[in-house]
Amino acid sequence: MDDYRSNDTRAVHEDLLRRCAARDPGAFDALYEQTAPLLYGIALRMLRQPAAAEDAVQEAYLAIWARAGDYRPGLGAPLTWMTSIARYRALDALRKRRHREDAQSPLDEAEHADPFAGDAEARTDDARMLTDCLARLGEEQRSCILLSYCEGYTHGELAERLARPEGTIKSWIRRGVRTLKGCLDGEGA
Amino acid sequence: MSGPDERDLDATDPGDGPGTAPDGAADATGIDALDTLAAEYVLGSLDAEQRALFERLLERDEVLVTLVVDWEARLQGLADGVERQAPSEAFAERVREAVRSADAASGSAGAEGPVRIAGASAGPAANRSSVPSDRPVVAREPDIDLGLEPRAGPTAAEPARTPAPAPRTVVRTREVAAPDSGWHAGAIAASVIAAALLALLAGGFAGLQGPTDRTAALAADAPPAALGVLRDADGRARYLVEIDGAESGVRVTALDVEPVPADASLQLWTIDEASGEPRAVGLLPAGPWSSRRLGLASPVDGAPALAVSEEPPGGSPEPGPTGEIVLQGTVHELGSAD
Repeated sequence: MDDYRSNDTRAVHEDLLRRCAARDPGAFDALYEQTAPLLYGIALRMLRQPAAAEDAVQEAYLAIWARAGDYRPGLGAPLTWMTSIARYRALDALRKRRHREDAQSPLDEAEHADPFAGDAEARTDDARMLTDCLARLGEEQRSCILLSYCEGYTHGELAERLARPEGTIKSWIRRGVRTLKGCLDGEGA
Repeated sequence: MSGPDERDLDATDPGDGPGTAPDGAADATGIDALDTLAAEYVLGSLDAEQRALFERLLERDEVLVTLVVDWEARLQGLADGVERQAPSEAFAERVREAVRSADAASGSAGAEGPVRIAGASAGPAANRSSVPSDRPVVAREPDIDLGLEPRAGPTAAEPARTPAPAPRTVVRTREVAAPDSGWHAGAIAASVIAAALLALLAGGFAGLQGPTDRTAALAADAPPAALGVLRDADGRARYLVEIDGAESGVRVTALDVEPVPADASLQLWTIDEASGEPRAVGLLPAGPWSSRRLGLASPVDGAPALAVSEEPPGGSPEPGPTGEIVLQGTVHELGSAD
């Protein structure tokens, strides 16, 4: 599960993080070049506004630079670690907004039909397995999980957008993640 | 408090133990409930308050970190699939400058190991760990304080860490979580507490889900003013005790408890800090993941110690405990949640 794409990529990122920890600006620049399009793409998908996405990504890179020395393999693949930092910054920014601008717009199913619409090369084995496992979930469970992960919807926002009680949303998500875990971890697959 | 003084909200058969899920989907064991919570954190479905609280617990809880890291890895495929968007070169330059000036501001920070972001350039959020930067060492502090007190400020928890001041009541001292018990047991105990706490503040999660009136009753309570955890002689967390501020009541929630024998009751006592006198509070709920609200004859002042004795059915016939003290705990006053 910790493997990301290839051991080569992982090793390169780990080396760059080590050099960042040793305060090597060149290593940071290289790390930025390799990862910024992904991190910015993630932030933009969640925040929708380029300026807000830029702020979140800048905070993420500052945190990555500051905490490079704390990175250890137990925290996941380097790119997963960095992705998470960026996602959580974007989530923080979303939570500071009073309302989502898009909360009233109808759910665009097509938009969420394929969360892998982007980089076809990015369809790793892990991603394929995730797709397969997500496909086994009920439609409501899958929609809630995707909207939450990809766009940062809270239980309450999902309830509003999908016009369902919050308890129903929570139940969908909780059952969804239990099923997903069982599928991904190979239990009862 | 609008309901009756004492509500037994348990709907599960105590004999089933905590490992059986009534509906087959939401396993009531602490670790599964916590894993679900970790998934919700990674997904991003928690609201701001829940998220902030979870992150504070994350800083202290090794098990929680592992659960979060695993979910980040499981869901990474969804992040990888996003359309790549190259930021502008002007933005790249801005980031490079910010990084270099952050470094200049913090001096030779690289030599000091884990680096904190210095100065205001990164904003307060930058200091909050997403993936915690400090490997939490739960075992170093057997009497886990839940990380809820303001970490830098005057610690309301300090008085609670002093030994329980009631020699005749405290039969077993807190040698719990001795080195042999290992960090893992302690960490899991802490996680169970964390899960229960989040559940109570957030209005229910998988472990306490079930009859809606149960969840609703939990959600209806105001956040507690103080928390205590009752541990057995092995240091396992058995009950969570929430103490109201103004309402002078307590809510006791059973965690992974064993069924109480039919010919006995577990009675909760507060031990007055100054006098060391025990005061009867009430009988504990018997079923796992059950919750019961108890009234208090008089408000609890400060941070009393808690003790639970095994008594005849219905409770002690004496003003004080007559049976063995089987559980003990300290009370932690909660700081404001930011």
